[in-house]
Amino acid sequence: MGYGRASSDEVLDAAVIEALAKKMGLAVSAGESEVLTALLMNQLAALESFNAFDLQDIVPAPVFRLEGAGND
Amino acid sequence: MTDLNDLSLSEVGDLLGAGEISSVELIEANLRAIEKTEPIVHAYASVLADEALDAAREADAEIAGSGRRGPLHGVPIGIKDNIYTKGRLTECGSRVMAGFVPDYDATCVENLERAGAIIMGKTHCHEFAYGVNSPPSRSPWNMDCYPGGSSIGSGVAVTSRSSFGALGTDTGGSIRVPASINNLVGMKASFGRVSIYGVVPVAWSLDHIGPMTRTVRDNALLLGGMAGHDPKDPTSADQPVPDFCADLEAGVAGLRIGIERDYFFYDGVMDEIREAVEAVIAEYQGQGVEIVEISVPELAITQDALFTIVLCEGSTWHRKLIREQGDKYDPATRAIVQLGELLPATHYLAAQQARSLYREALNRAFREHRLDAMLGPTMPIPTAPLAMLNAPRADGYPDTPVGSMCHHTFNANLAGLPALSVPCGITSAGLPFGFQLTGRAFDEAMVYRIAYAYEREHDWHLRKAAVIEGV
Repeated sequence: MGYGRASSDEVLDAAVIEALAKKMGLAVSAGESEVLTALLMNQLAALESFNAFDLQDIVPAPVFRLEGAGND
Repeated sequence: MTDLNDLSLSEVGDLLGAGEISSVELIEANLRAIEKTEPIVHAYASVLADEALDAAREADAEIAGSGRRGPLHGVPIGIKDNIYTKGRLTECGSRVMAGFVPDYDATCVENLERAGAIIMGKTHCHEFAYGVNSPPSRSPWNMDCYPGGSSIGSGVAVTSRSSFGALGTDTGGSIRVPASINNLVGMKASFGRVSIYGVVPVAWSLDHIGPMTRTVRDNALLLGGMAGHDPKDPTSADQPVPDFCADLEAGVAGLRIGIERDYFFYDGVMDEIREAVEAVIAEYQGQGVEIVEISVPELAITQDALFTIVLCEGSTWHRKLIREQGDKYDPATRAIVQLGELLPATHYLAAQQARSLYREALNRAFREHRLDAMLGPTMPIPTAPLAMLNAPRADGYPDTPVGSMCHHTFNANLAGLPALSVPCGITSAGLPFGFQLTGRAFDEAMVYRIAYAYEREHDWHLRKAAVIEGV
């Protein structure tokens, strides 16, 4: 599967992302932080496609069951 | 004499039932194919030759004494290497799990072994089924092209005739994509139909386990053997498991199939595939199906919703491992696992909201148009050269091959509806492709019935890669 999508022009500082990742216990080298930052910038833009729809009052169901699944 | 490996799973089952062949002969046939094809295609992570032969001898003795337990008894199958198999290596394509031997079976494996199926081996997958690293498997249809993932080895083994059928897992298309690329039938059943207990998860709310086979009937038989309610899996559905083959030959006259064109027939669909799938639609019309044009604008959010959910749920499962053994991950997988931890919780929940919106829109389309299924291409492109997966598409469409491949498959994972890829053509470059049927929840039988009505009129599923013919 391909991850990521077209990003906006806003730029994140890779050093900040590296520091954040390390603070969270993730081992990220300087070289990897550039890749991670690019991926993050792309993925943060993902929600733009949701803006065409009104999601505000929808209750999210993180693990759902199909209607009629019979085990509720 | 026909090579046993060229027969379908149901055909060899019939021969077993008639006493014309033995289970041991089937294992030996598969082992001969493995010996010939593995140096080329590398489908298997591990081959369980001795164990399979022992199981086959037991099956033959039991069949001789009391008959077959059912249509899978004595038939060898492959299992994707992210599915737990008790006492057998389960390495998930990762150095992180190197040498790991589970002490229990995944429920679907337990079900299949209870039905008498024999595990021939474990098949390669992308690391943790993420789809971003490169396992050694190659498709015999084109060694330079992407063989499909993440159920790579399962697809390659079945199309290479070294397996009669194999299990894959599908979080965004990982059964249907390799099925399409390898000229196979691949089913992602309804969410909850097959227990996911004992599979290494990619994303709990999107993961499915399903069969990959050469024919529709084989697929229906395998699904029947693995499905069923499982108290050990909180997402498992308490639904009866029907005989998925019962109505295969009922025909399709009077059924209603929905066609959504804006998304499934967008400009990124390659002309050869578009024309072939239009021909499939015309054929169904000719068989008496009512084709209904529908619109589901919410399809536009499916890709972003799915990626966000995959990233967040997957990284949650890896949270401990990535900290303790992060250096063992492939760098590409490691980056994806780390990425999920950096996304805001609001993004995950917004993606689940978007999923709810889409799921309701799709169910509404099924209800309002009284659809029995929807139909479209499984993939917009057949596959692409491995070296060009992240390059601009060769046909000039503004996307990458990797960005296009799962365009049509994500939505069924989000909706939880059954979706089946069925072979329907081979491009002028010699690359197979399929069409996808999406059905109503827990109505896999209808999906199989519609698929079979096409398959029985064509011989795409019998085509074999030239490389395999030659070994």
